Amino acid sequence: MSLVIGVDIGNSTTEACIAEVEGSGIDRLASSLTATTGVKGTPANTAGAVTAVRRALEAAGRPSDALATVLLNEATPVISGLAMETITETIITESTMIGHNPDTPGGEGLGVGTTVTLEALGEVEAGAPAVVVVGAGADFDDVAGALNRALERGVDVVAAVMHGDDAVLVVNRLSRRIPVVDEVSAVDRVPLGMLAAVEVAPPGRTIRTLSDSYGLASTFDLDAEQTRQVSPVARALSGNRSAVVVRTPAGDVTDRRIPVGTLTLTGSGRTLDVGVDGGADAIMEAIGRVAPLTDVHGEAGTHVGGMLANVRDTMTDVTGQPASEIRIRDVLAVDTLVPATVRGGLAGEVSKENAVALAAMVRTSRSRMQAVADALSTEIGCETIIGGVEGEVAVRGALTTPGSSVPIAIIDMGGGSTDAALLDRDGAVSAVHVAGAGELVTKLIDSELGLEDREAAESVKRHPLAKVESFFHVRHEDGTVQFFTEPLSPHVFAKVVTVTPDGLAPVPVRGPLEEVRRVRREAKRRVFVVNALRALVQVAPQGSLRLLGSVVLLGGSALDFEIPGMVADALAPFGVVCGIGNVHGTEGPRNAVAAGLVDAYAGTAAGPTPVEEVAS
Amino acid sequence: MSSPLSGVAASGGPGCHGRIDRADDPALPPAVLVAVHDDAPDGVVREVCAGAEEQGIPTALLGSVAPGADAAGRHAASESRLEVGVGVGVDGAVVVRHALVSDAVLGLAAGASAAALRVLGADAARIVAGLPLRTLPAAG
Repeated sequence: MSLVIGVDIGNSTTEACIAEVEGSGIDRLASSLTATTGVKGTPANTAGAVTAVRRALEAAGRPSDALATVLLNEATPVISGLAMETITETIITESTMIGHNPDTPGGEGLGVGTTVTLEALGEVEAGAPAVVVVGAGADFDDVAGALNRALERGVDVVAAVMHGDDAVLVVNRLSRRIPVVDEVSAVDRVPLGMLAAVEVAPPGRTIRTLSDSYGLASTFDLDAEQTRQVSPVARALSGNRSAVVVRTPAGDVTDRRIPVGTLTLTGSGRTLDVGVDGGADAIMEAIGRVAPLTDVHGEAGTHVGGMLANVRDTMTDVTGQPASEIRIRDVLAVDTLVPATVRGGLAGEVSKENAVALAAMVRTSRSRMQAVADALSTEIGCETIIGGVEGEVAVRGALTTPGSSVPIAIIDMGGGSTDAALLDRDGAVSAVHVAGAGELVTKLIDSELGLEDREAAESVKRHPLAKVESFFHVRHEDGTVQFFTEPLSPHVFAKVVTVTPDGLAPVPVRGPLEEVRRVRREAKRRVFVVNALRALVQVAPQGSLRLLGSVVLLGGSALDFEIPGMVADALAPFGVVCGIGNVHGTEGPRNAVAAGLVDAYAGTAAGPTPVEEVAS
Repeated sequence: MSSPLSGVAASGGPGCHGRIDRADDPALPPAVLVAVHDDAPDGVVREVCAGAEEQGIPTALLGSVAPGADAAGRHAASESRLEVGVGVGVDGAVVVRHALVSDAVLGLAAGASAAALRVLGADAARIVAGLPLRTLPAAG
């Protein structure tokens, strides 16, 4: 009888499974999990592997000198990278419009007049329509007083634009109810002496005149050609509850496409250039045309070019292989919308701009696991054996899931790449790795919601949402209500939150829960579901998903609360049985490789078969 | 309250129902009650009421004998039909309370800036409206 530990060094986690082996009998004692140190397949992994071994020993209650053998998987380094390029931008010239949505604009209706500062209001002639521009620091009582005096004098005060959050307060103190737009941070840049229109819609409504091309034409008395020119302004304002439009000689709102360089794709004996600003569909279509992809280069000076070069450099650092020998074998491009501050905006206006997110992956056959094994032997003081290639051991581990059968495919959706492997009826294993996984999903959630907070994005990805509706109850995203006997913190009051094991965590967004949920599910669909199908097609017999039989989901993402369901839904039309792995009927989707290594050692699993790399 | 009306009632503004003697008056629309000590600084009440008014939630002023903001706030919250009350202490400290929550929801020490007081008043209204709060909550 001997005590053995199988250790699986993965991209993000290192798992260990400790067992007593006697002949072909295995008594699994415990398992452990820790974060992988360094890039998988490099000597830096030793620290994490030692931790995993120590924890497993501790969990099993065995001293380290009882340990006979450590079994390591043959892990190869995978480096992945992410980059995003914004490909459109909105520019307001000559401060022609203010299109933000203050929480509390004042009054309602449409006012058209000439812009004048509050200080110069005394010089305006009676009868002249005026749009009053109120700078920073003005007190609402003083502003209301000045406007009321002007109205008494016969000045036709039709609207106001303010710096502070005072619109309702000012309107409540006026002798005439006028539309007031507030919270305009750069109010001092509003052009003066120009014809301007201010519109505020009633609560629950959106503006009707300034967001309509002919509404603008009627307001500013425009001819057909001028109306054509201002139509982008109308489009930019649609959906707002309040807006200001100033008619200036060359004012305009433009949507510009930003050139962000090209990707040079090499494959099947040819080279193709594709513009990143063409969007994800164009990039993926070009990749399809050169399939199988052998290498990708990006233009220097662009985010994408920098990311690809960085991936190559990191791999060079890790393996010592020259950069010229490192080939990028897979790229996933995803279209996304990112909120960006409008250039030339006066109130910090934000518009949704088109962007392309790109994930790339490089893999090498040059593993340095022997160095890890040697260091581990020294550290633990026992024999260390490298055995079994990841995909193969994983697929055999997955096969211990009750109810699974050959042919069996696995999908392991990790942080940087999505891996798939297939064990066919002849016992042959094929494996594939494609770019794009959890990190890309986090990035998409982060940028689409404008969080600029990676941890918040990670929390949105991992946990279901809820809306705190009072100090004592929340409504979960599926509509169920949960009451609390202790009052909830003011930190989360009325906020969209993620429901984590440690409690409720606020998501820093202004939008409704439904919007956050939609962004989260779309990001997962566009990365995990798309990649699961992309990877499975590459390993499936004759490229047909219908011939797959069963698909077992492994790894951390198989524990996600919605990804397994989304992938299973996507595979259902192909008659594929898809579910979460349950290694040995007890371990769940974790530990497939670590347990598989022990099984192989004991000789209970079929002997190793050479892995045929479909793509790397 | 037998004391003559101070400047307090006048500074509540159009969004404020002014000083009231009894909170259970059926003629009074539901309001965030602001319990103010007679000697509390007028400027504090003005900003707190303005904050709530900008959010479109009515306020009403309640005389208070309690010198401390917290006790005044507790009284105001328990009297308010919206279950939200603000207490203004004699020193100008402000506490926002909800009738059903044992701890103070928000608070500002004496000497807070006009802008911070305005945001606090807005937050009292935002509790009623079910909108996220903008003041950093009091410790605990």
